[in-house]
Amino acid sequence: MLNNLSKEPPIPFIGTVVKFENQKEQVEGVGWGWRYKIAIFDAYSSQDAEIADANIEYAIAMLGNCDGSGAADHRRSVRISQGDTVVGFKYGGKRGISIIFGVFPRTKNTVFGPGRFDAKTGYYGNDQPKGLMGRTQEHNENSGHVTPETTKSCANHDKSVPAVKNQDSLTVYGLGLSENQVGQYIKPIKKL
Amino acid sequence: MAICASLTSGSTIYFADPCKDNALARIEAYTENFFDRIGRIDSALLNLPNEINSVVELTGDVSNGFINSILGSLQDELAKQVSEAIQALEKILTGLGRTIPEIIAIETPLIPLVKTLFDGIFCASSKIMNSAKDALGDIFTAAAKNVLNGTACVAQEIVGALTNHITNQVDSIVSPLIEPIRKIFSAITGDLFNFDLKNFLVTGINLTRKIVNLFECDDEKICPASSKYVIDQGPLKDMSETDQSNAWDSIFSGVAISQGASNLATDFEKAYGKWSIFGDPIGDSSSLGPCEFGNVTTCGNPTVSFFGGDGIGGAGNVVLGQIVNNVDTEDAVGDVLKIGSIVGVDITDPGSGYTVAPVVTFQDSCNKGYGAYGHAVIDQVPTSPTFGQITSVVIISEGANYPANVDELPLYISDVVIENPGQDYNDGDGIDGLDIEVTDGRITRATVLPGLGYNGLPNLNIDSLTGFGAILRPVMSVATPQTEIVQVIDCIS
Repeated sequence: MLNNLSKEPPIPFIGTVVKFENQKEQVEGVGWGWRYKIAIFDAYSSQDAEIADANIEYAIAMLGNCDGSGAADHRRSVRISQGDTVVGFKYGGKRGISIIFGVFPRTKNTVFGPGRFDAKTGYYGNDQPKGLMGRTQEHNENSGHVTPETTKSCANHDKSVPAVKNQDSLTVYGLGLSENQVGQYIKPIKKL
Repeated sequence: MAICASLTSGSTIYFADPCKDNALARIEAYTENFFDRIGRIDSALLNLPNEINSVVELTGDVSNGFINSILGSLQDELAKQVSEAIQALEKILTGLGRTIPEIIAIETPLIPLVKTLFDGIFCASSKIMNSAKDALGDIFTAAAKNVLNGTACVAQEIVGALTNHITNQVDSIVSPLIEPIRKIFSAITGDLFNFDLKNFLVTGINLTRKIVNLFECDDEKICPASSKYVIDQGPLKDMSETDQSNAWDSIFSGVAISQGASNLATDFEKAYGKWSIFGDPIGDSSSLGPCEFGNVTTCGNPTVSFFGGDGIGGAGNVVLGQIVNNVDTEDAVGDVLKIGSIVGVDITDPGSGYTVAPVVTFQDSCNKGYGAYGHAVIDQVPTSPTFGQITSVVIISEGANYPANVDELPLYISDVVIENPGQDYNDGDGIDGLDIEVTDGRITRATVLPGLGYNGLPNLNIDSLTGFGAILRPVMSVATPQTEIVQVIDCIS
C-alpha cells in the first residue's frame, strides 16, 4: 500500500458490519486488534454475488480518549456487533485504510433481516443472553431500558409458598392409580 | 412460581461423616428435597419419573447400609442363640448320661443346617438390596399422591414402610432355614431354640451399633462439627446420634404395629404396611405419632443453632429488627404477615467447653429468610468464670425475609465487640450512644450509654478526622435499658 495518507482527502463512509460468521478468524481471536469487515454503502451492492462478505476488507475501530490503549491495563473493549451500522473515514484514498469512528445506536424499532445491510442480532457464539435483563434487549435508547436485576430468591424450598399435588404428572406417567399396588412404579424391561 | 437460578439451590446434602451413621438424616434430606421439587417446580419443568428414579437411587444406596446392619444383627443374634441352645443341649444330654460320641452324633445333623442358615443370610443381603429399590419406587409413588411437605415424619414413615418390606423379605428367606434347626432341638428337648424372627427384627436391632464398633480399635476420631450442608446457604446443625437413634426406635415401633396389624386389606398394605403417607394412618399406639405433611400453616420465628468449637449446649433466641409488612403476593401462609432481619441473638444458654467459636446458623421452618450471618464470641480467658462459654453473637449481615411473628420493639445495644481497634484515633473522637476509650490511637473500649433505641442493626462509624480502620460490632438486645429512652433511631431510612 502506498503511503499517500496526506495526499488524498479522507473519504467518509457509512456501512454495516457483516455477519461474524464471515469474519470468524477475527472475532474468535485469531486476528489482531479491533477490526470489523464493513459493507460500505454505495461501494458494495446489497448482493454479495460480486464480492462475498468473507472477502470484504477489514476496517479498524478507533477508540475514544477515555477508553485507553491498553497501556498500564487501561482499556475498555470495543462494543461493535454484527449488523451494526457504523460511520468512519477511509484514509489514503479509495484503496486506503478504513477507520471506524462510531456506531449508530439501535432503536426499539430496529428490525433484523438476512440481507447484507440489514441489522442482525448481536448474540453470537458464546456471547448469549445472560438473563440479567429479564429478557433479550438489543437496543440503546434514552428510555425503555430494563434495569439489570438478580434473579428472585429461589422459592423451591420456601415452605410458605404452597406446594401442589402433581396429580397430572402422576397420571401422565401412569402412576396416579387411586389404589396403590405392589410394583406400581415400573421400570423399563432390559432386553438381553 | 419463581424461577430459580439453580434447581439445586436450597437443597440439603450430607457429607461423609466418619463418626456417626447419618443414614436416617440423609434419607430425611433426600425426602425433603424430593417433595420440595415435585411440589414446587413448575409442572412444565418437572420430569416425575426422573425425580422418583433419583430419590430411589439415593435412598436405596443409603438403605443398603441399614439392610446390612439388620442382617448383621440377625446373624449375630442367631449365632448367639444357636450356640447357647447347643450348650444347653449338651448339658441336658450329659445329665442324661449320654457319652460324648453319642452327643456328637446327635449334634452332627445340626452342622449343615446351621451352615445353610448363615449362608442363606449372607445371600439374602443382595436379594433384599435389589428388591429395596423397587420397593422404594412403590413407596415414593404412593407418597407422592398425598404428601405436599417432606417433613421428618414423612421420611420416617418411608423408612418404616421399607423396613416393613425388608422384614417380610428376611422372614420369607430366613424363616424356612431356621425351621429345620428348631425342629431338631424341639424333637430332643422341647423349647431350647425358639427364635421369633419377626419380633427380633422389629424390636431387637440397634442400628447404631455397627458404627460404634468402628471405634473400638483406639483409632483417633476426627469428627466434623456438622455434615449437613444446604446449597447456597451453608452448613447447618445436623441430627445427633441420639436423635437418630430415637427416630429409629419410633420407626421400629411403627413397623411392629404394621407387622401385627390384622386389617391389612391389600397386597400393598401387606408388603409395606399402613402409613399416613399412603392415606391410611398407622395405629395410635405408634410412637411415630400423627404425621403432618400438608402445606405449612405456621412459620414461627427463625431459630439459631450453635455447633462445633469443641463445646456443647450453646443456645439462644433470635432478635429481629427492621420488621416490615410482608408484601409477597405468593405467600400463602397466614401468619407470615411480617418479615424482618436478624439483628442479634439473646444467649439463653452459654454452653461450655468451647475452645474456638462455634458456627452460628439461622433457620426458619419455612426456609423463607436468607442472608443472615453471625459469629459467636467466646470467653477464652482461663481465669474467667465464663471461660469456654459463648458470651455473645455478632451479626455480620442481618439478612432479610425472615418470618417475624413478633411486634416490633425498640432495640438496644447491649454490648460492643471491637473487631479491629484501628489506628490514629484521638480522645475527642466519638459516636452517638457510645463512650469510646482511645489508647495509643486505638479503640480499646466502647461503653454503651443508655438512652438510644434502634429498629435495626446500627452502623457504628466513629466520627474522626484522623483515625481509620476501627470495626465495632453492636450486640443488640430487646432488654429494656435501665434509663429512659431518649430517641429511637431508624436504621432503614
